[in-house]
Amino acid sequence: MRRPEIIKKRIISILMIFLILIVLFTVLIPFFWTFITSVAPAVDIHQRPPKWIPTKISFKYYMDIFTSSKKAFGVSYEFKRGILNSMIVSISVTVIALFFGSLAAYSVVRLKIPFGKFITLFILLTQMMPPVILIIPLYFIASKVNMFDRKVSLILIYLAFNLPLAIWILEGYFKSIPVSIEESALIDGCSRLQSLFRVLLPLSGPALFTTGIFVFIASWNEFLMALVFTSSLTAKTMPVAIAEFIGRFTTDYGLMATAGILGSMPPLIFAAIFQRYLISGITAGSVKG
Amino acid sequence: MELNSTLEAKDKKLGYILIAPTLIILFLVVIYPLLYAFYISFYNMNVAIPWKGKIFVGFDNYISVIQDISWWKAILRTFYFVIADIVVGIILGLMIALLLNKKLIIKSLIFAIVLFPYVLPPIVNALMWKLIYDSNYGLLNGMLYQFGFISDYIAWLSKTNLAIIMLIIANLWQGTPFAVILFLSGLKSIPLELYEAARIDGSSSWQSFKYITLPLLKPIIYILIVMKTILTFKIFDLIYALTGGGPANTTQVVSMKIYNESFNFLKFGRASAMSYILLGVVTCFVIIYMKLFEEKKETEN
Amino acid sequence: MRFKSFVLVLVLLVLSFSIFMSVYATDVELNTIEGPGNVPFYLSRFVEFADKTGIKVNLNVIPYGRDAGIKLIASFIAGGEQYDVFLIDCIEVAQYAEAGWVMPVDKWITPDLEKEIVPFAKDGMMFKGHWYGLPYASEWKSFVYNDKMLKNADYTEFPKTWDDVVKYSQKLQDSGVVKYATAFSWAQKESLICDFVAIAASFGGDFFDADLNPLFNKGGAVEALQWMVDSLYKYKIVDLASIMWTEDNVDAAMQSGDIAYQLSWGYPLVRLNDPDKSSILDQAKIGLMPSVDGKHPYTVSGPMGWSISKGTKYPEEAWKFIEFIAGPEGSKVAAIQAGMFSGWKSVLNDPEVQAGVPGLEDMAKQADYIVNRPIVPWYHEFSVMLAEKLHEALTLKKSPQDALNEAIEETLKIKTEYEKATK
Repeated sequence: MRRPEIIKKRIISILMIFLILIVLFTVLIPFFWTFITSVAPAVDIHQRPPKWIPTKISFKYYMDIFTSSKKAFGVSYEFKRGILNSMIVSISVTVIALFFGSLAAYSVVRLKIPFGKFITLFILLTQMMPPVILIIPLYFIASKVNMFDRKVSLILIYLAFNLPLAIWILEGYFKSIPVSIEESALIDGCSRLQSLFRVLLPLSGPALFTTGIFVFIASWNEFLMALVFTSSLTAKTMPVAIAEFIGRFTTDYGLMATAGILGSMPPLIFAAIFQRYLISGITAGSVKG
Repeated sequence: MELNSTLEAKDKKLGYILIAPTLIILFLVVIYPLLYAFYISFYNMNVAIPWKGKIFVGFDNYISVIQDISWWKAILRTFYFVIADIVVGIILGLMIALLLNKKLIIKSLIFAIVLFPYVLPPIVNALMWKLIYDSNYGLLNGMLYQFGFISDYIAWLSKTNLAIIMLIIANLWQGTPFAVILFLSGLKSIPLELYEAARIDGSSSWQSFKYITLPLLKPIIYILIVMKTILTFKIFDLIYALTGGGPANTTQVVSMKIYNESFNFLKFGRASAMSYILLGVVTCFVIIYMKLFEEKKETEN
Repeated sequence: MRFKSFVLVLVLLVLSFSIFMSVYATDVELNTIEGPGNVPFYLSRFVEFADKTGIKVNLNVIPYGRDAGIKLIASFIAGGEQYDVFLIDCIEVAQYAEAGWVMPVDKWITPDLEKEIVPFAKDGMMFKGHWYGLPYASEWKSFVYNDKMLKNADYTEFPKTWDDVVKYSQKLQDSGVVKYATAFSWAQKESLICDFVAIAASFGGDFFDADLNPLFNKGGAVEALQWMVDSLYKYKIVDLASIMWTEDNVDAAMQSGDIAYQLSWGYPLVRLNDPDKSSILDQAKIGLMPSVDGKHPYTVSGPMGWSISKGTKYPEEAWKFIEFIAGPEGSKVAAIQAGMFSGWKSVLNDPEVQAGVPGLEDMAKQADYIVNRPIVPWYHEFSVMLAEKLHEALTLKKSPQDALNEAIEETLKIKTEYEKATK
């Protein structure tokens, strides 16, 4: 390579790095600024332009939310309950979806029941269909059986939204495991169910993980159904609490920013630690689709 | 062989039991409500006049919606959103994927960072952008003011011509990582020998891109177009939290309109008709895409 | 075997959880829903109520107070159990009463209570001869101005005509006292309609006639809307953000000294002199609504009260609560602490109240110039439509005359549709 070419390559590399930094910058700046807003004194934020580096840092909003109690009812407590409810709902949905999903995937893949295509159709349907369609009929149904403002109702609804995806991911993975492994277990005297739980599932770690993460994040993030079907702290999830904050505290930016940061913690932690599974889920899901 | 068939029969029976919970839940939450919504769409249900009950009106609701200009405006607005999201999202996604497709040292850190917007709850995304766009203390105003681009703070979400663009930006910020990840996986699967061969033949990087990269990425582009259409037509959280459909309905997308029709106007029958018309529109798009892409695949082959 | 035991454990878990939840929820608890305006005040009152009667009241807060209507109606359709007590607006009484969503409270109204109530407040709580709640905020919108700022600009009196308003505002802005002289709650919601009704009346226009024929596309009403548009874009004396603002935003701007005057519900000086809320202590005063010629200082009324949901599980406890918070005693506390306009004669005549609520005498002058919005069951649908049309004019999408013409058309449609459906 001649010298000009070497210089050209260097320049291009530097340009590339620069652009990558800009991309990272664009992704991170909103987060960073939200975080700074949550710990900076109000005076700093209320300036034009704002003080980019806060004069002092205080985690008081975070402490407020963590230590808030039912007695001293306040905004912090509302948000804490929201997070708690979201936790309960999301974890329940994830566990149940993995369980029922495995059962269903097994029945489609190994037990050859004719519902396979049906499930694929369902995934398409639940993904394509705008959730608004379901609000009114579910509203009437819920009013007849008094299923309002209950976490159970949300869990059921989210299960319906997430089961198709769970089944599909697990189905795909089960298919890739050779039948012979199970056959030896069956010959040894295992029942079908035992072979599912003792042989197939332990081998399906990655799929279970991927499914679990997607279902959890989807349940954690869901907003419209929670908005319509919850009304009090008994069942209000984090997204609903945040939506209320947005309208209420139009001047208390620190509090809003804190709520935002806390509300996004679980999905962000998942993304940070389990990115492999997220990425594999995204690519597998879309390529096949 | 008899043994086999009874085993198979037993298996099938077990299979039905195992899939039963899933089917029950899906029926309760999706199938039955969909049918019920369809049923309601043929009735006039003003729940504020409950003593009158349901009045059968046949196709009146559908006709009323189809004749409603504000409905089509909402569809067009949503479509505008979708187009912007597709065009800018795919181009940006591809560019960023090309950038990141190098041997980088801290690859996993970068991926984690790129994934953040994708996993963020849409409502938190909305909150964040509301703070950023704030007309008094927001980040956007602050930065533009600091660097001298504007002399005075702007009320971004109050301007009828800007509001929807700000929403599109917020949505793009959250949605582009998805495209980036897809493109990255697609880029990785392109054999390097193709590029080697091209270079030996004397092609420039731009030509390699145009004749090798793009064609091989076409499937991903198609998938993105379909998925983005479906996803963006559903958009709700962002609009609800940031503008509620305003100012002057300039950001009233289809989901918001149906929500308003249900809970503000209490016209449940009409809202159900709207939902089904929307479903029809989305399905049309998907079918059109399928046809287009099938044809393209055939011409390529 | 393991599968079976697993299922058993799961079922047991679900059962015990549901038992736990149902046991947990058997104490008498009342649920209500509110906007963000007075949350700390409500919470302290709820604690007092719980201490006094052992009944807990749960507060659900939503971003904009009058949007509670949407959630309330949704809950009524679903049986009315979700919210037991709630604040009702005069414009909602007709609809809720007709639909059977709100509980008539006639049986608890004693003759003493009836004597006590101010007639204006009583009208807000009654429909077709029945009582539907107790008055809580029997209010109208007052014109509040920052006297200190006006004095800085060499004005000794508040502006009496809209032309004066423009003149004063421009001087205030030019001399740098404020960036925008004022702001209004012109978000696309009921707050916009309230202001429109008030300003239209101050221009000599009419909203509806006695037979509920809509008249607001003629005369004063059109001029009023034109003035509103001009104030934003031609005279530039109103903060442009007003088209996304509700009353709380405007109050906040006044409290931090960002604007020189505002229209405000309730007893504005209570919060404007509250050091926890306001930075313009003792600077504000109450004036009269400006008008086109100084002779029509009309403002809009908006009495509100506390009501009980028809579907509540605890009607007796609900009545105890609204008696506590909105009866004469509660109203006195609300007047002094939260600036809630009382509808009880005893409270208005109480020396403590007169001492604790600054500006009461000035506000009384406004009492002769009030207009009401129509009390009709189709008001909600009408309001949503009218807010949209008004907003189109305010965002320069249509001329005021066009917007109002369309609004009249739609109003007549809504009216006849309702009458047809309820024949």
